[in-house]
Amino acid sequence: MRDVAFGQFYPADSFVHKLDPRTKLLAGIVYIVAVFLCTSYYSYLACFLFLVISIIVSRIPIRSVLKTVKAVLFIIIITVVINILFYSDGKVLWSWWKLTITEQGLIFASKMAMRLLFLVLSTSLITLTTTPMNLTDGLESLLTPLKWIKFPVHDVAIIMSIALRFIPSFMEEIDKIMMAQKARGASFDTGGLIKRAKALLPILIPLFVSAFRRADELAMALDARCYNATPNRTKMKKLTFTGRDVVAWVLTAAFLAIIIMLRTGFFGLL
Amino acid sequence: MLVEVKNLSYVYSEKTPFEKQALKDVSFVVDEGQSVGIVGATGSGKSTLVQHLNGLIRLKNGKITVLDIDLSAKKPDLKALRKGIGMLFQYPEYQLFADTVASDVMFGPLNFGFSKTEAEEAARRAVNMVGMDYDSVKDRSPLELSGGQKRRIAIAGVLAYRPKILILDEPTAGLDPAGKREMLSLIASLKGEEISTVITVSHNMDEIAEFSQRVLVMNNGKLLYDTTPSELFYRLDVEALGLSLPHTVRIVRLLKEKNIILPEVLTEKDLVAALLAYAGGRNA
Amino acid sequence: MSETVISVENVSYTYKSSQNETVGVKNLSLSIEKGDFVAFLGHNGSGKSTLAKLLNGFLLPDEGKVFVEGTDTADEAKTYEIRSKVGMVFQNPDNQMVASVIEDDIAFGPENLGVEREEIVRRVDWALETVKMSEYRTRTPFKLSGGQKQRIAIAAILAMMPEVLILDESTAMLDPEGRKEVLDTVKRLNKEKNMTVILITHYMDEALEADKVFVFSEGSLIKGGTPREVFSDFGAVEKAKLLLPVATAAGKALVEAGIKINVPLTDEELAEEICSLK
Repeated sequence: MRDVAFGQFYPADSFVHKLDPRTKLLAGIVYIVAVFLCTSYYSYLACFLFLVISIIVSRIPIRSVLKTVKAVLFIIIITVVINILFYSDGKVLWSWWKLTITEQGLIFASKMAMRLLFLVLSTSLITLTTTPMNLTDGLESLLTPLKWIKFPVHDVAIIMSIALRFIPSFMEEIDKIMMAQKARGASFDTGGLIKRAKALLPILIPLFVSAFRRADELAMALDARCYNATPNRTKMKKLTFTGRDVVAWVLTAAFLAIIIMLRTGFFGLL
Repeated sequence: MLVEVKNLSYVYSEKTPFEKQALKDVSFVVDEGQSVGIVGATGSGKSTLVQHLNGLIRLKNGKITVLDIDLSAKKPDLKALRKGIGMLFQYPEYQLFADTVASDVMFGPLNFGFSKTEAEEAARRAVNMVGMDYDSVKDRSPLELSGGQKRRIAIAGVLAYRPKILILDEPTAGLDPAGKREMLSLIASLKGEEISTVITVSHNMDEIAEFSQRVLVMNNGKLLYDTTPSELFYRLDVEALGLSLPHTVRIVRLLKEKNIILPEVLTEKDLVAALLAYAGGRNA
Repeated sequence: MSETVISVENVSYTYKSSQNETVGVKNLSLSIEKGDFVAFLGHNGSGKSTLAKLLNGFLLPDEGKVFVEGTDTADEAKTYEIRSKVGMVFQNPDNQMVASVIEDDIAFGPENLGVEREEIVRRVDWALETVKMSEYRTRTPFKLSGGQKQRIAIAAILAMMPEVLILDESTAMLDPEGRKEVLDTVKRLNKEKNMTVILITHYMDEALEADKVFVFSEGSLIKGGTPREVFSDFGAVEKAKLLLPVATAAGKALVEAGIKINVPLTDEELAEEICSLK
């Protein structure tokens, strides 16, 4: 639990780490769009290559990147299995009761699996290379136009930043409470579902009590720091794009272009 | 021999950028009837060490035997272990969860296989032992109690299952002077009649000087000294370890610099007696 | 020439909930001069923290008035001005940080006040330097020791350029080393920057170097004066359920046994007194 104490951020000195968070967020969105535009195997290959190159450039060990897939592996497998078993069009390879496996189904499921994998890996790459704070700043900056429709961008950013700030505190707290209850003989991994759920109460209740206490104290601390004193709040940090970001934009644009060309068959040129 | 630790080492977050060696080759033995203080700067490995004794951190390197339970075994009997070695964490009042004092104190006993009536009896005994009246608090919510009272109830929650060994992590942290005094006299009263062995982790050297017969000094994950308080405070260089001297010892040392030799006292009571004896000799 | 920063005039405050009423403070009057280092002593529920919250306008008196540099804290238009002038550091270092990076946390106050960007950067530099934490600027507060976290909390308040710094039991949760770090920091601020400091604590030995000590019990001020005056009043100390420093307690025992010494406040003073016995 202590390993992930500070979000997922993996400290390293790399091209990707140094990019402006807005660049990474936008590139992430472009990549996701691209993944959904993929039809042919060539386009999947392009997505794969773009991802692999980004990972290599980020200097994060492949193992750490792959670890992030572990959490959602179950969902991916379930999706694949359901798609294989219930996809009924195409050449039938095997069939039993209402379940059939078809060639189309296999192809569809494998594409689905690739899409999910690419999505998870690309978003993980962003969170691995960007501190939560930076990510919040980037998001706040990208959302700024929403101020026009009276969307409270600042407040949302503060809420996010405080939430991020307290995640490690709560993880540590859960750790402590669990140990204390274990010391009193509690066990969290035996018995049926209901028994296990009930066993969580001695953790959840102190956690909630502590959350309220923290919220109370935090509210006072915010007041002491004059939160809401003026509508003209200033910001110390200003995000700035550098030459690096321009390089990243160009590469991302080129990648998107390739995907679109592959989808349209190079506008009929091939 | 109640506790035996042999060549214990531990590394947090192994093979990640956050890797940290918390314990290095720690060995010691605790016998029945001792009051042991564990001291050391923050991050010296004190907490990691005591969490091992209770099986809360899985033993990786070394050997630990507590109450004849071998923790290096494949599946040590953790229930029996935890019943025998009660552990109170820092700010134990934050772990209270039940809707009534009675059910919170009964939580431990029920987990350790007491019957409902046995658990209730145990709770009554334990709550009375920490100086509160069971019948008047049993149906109250633990959250309504004052800070000092909450901590007493948390202690009762551990005493209720009658552990042989009690581990206390900073038992007086955050209490006001009155609460602190009550807590210290409570701990002193438990030792002997109820608990045979008390292990206290503390930053407060005055409290260590007052209550421990033996001190384990942790430094950077190593057990640096295993000694007595008077040896530690009068012979060894405590300040170099980032620890302070108890006031009693400082006063005796200051007087020694002025060529006034007093006995090497540790407690405030003994200091006053020594000063009175000295002053009386002067006046006569 | 001393100049009054805070004056409290016949203030009473009662906490009211649907079931019951608890006295916070009753009929308190005191004043604090610019550049003073003042300690508020008392056990839990003695009224010392309630008073602190009345000083920066978190609570408004039921009766009486509190003035900060002549401004009534009840004046709603001045609420934020008063809060930025009377900065408060709290007990739990973990629950007063809003950002995951130290410099962002320190910038939060001045950002809220709408201070110019360049000025914020200057203030963050200055505040970090003042608490001697400059090298931690871009790190996360999460891995710091308790004492370091509280120094960051102090820096975060300093960045608002307050006139008065209140530490509301900010040492209670720290180990001895952390307590010393925090106390050294505020003492230095008081001496070098002439910052007015109000230290709220239940440890008497932290109040030894204060210019003035106020002792509270059950919502009332029961004793005020220099540490020596206050600590020699054993009756007041007992009434306030405080714990005398070891040297003072030992000195008291000697005095009570008929030995003629002055009541010592520190270990050194006790040693001197014993030495002077002839």
